[in-house]
Amino acid sequence: MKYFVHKTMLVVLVVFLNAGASVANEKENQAIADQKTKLETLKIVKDAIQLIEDVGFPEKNRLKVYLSHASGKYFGLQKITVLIDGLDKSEFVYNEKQRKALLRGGSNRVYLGSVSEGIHELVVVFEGADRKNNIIKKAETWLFDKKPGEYIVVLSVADDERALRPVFSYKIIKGSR
Amino acid sequence: MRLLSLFFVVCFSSSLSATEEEVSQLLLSEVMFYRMQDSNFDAITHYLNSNDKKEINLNQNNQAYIASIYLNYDLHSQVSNMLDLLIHNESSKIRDMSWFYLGKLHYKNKRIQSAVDTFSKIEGKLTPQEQEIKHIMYGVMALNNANYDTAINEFKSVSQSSVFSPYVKYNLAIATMKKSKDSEQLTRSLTELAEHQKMNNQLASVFSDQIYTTLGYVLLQNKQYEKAKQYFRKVTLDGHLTTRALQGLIYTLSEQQQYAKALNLSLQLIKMTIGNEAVHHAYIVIPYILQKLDDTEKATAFYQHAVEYFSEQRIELKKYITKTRKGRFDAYLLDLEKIMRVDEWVDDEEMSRLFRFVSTLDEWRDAVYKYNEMKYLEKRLDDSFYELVIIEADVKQDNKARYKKALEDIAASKEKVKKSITWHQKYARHFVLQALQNQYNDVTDYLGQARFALAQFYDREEQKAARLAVEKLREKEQEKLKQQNAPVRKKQK
Repeated sequence: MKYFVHKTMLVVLVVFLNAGASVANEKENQAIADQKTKLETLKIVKDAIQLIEDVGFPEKNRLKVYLSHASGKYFGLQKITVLIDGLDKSEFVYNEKQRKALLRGGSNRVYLGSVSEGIHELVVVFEGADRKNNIIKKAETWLFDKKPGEYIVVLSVADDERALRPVFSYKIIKGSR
Repeated sequence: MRLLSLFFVVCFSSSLSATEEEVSQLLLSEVMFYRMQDSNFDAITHYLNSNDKKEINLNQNNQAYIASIYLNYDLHSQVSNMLDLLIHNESSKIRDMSWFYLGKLHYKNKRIQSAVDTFSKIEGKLTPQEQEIKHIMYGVMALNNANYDTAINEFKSVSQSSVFSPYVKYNLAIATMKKSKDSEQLTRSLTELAEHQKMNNQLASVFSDQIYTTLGYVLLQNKQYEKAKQYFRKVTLDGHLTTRALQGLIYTLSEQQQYAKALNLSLQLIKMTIGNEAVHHAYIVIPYILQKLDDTEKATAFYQHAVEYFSEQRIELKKYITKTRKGRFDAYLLDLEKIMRVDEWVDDEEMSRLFRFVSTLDEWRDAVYKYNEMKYLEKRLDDSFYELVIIEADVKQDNKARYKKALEDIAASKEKVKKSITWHQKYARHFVLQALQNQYNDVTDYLGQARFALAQFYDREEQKAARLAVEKLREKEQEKLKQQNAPVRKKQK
């Protein structure tokens, strides 16, 4: 009788431990499956982005405009508006987290579009606040001659330490200058 | 930060042309833009996109930075592969950095021995912050293995000026107490830490509440009642340790035989919340205090009240168990949006109570995190699908096959994501049910205790009444005897 009781207890214990182990195994397997799903989704979304870019904005006409190095000493950027030839418009309003990411060296693509060969006008309106929290709205206009192939333009906001004011500039880093 | 600075230095010194290097740097800073906002998904898709077009200069430093993003996004297998490659790098700096990240990865996955082995391969010096993280990880590992000497040495190696210093001091005090069983030492260390915290006001209230509560209980154990009360009273009134601290205060007052005050606090405690361990205990403590105050009538009434309360709790919990099993709470319990806006639906008594209960479960928090991670993937797949639908008319013949495959891939991946979502939903429900069942068992225990105490109480009362009745009977008999004996004596006279 005693032997039977002990054996029963052992069986219950083994079943209990197995149940615990099976939940843990299931969790481990699911974690592996989740990682695979994540990687697969990342690749699929990336493929979709590339396809949309290739179909909507063929490389020979593609224009990308990035905002980089938005220094914050004399100018705290809040919004940026990009206009190509006064027609094609793109806007970005930055929240606190995004502003900090820009200040810490991040770059943000603010425009993706197609432009034909020839001379184009790029108008950028920078909106933000100065050190005294006064609202500043500064529009800059640049002209560029688009040749075949992808163009990448980088906009930047830097500090002019001598004049104690912000300086807005643009640079073509890909494409004929 | 070290990774970032290294990555910029290397970008300027690589063999790419100036234009390519500028583009590579710009695209990596775009990846950083998303990483710094904790948008790991966007950071990785941007990296994959640029890497496919070979626009990113993938030197070892950049690889290490990308690996850290994968690490943050819990893609451990991918990170291991990347770091494995970097470990064979000629530069000892990069090798050490890779060992460090790989060690952290093992630690995060709770592969403790692998973490220790990996860290031991670091040859050179880590940055001060990396060194501190390593000491803390070693210390926590040793503490968990009851290797207190090592834990103490590791925690002592962390600088006093470190940002982690308060947490390290707390762990050091616990390790020291566990080693020496010297609660006086723990009291001194925690008092010092609590005072320091008060002066600098640098800790989150969650952590300071933890210190005050631990300190309160240690002082109570050492019979330093007045000091214990001081620390229990410092715990915030709306924190997760409020009821624990109140319970400690009630114990302390009871030990000091200040029963009236203890009773008052206990009555306040049971009004604060329901379904809480401290509250359940208070229902047993209150009649005990009333007995100490010789208020037998109220004590009986409260025991009866406690029996009713625990019976109701059992019915309520049974109801929650049934509803949870049927999936009625899934929409609330797993939706981060709803959890973030908990105050808006907190009026719903039933939900609010269940939410407060489940939010204390680590497994549930983990399941919610993973469930929402999968929901996010589903959303991103949907977004991509609709974006592709919009451009359908513009897709030319050369891209038709690519377009078709993209749609098929999205559909197939969505199925997998949905399966994952269902799994995490079931898993979360499983843990909530398990926790509810545990609470149901606890309440059943308390109900048993209350019934037993009530029975004992009645028993005592009955015995008392019986004793009184026996005594009265005896008195009557003695009276009778006296009366019977009286004439005999007269006769004898």
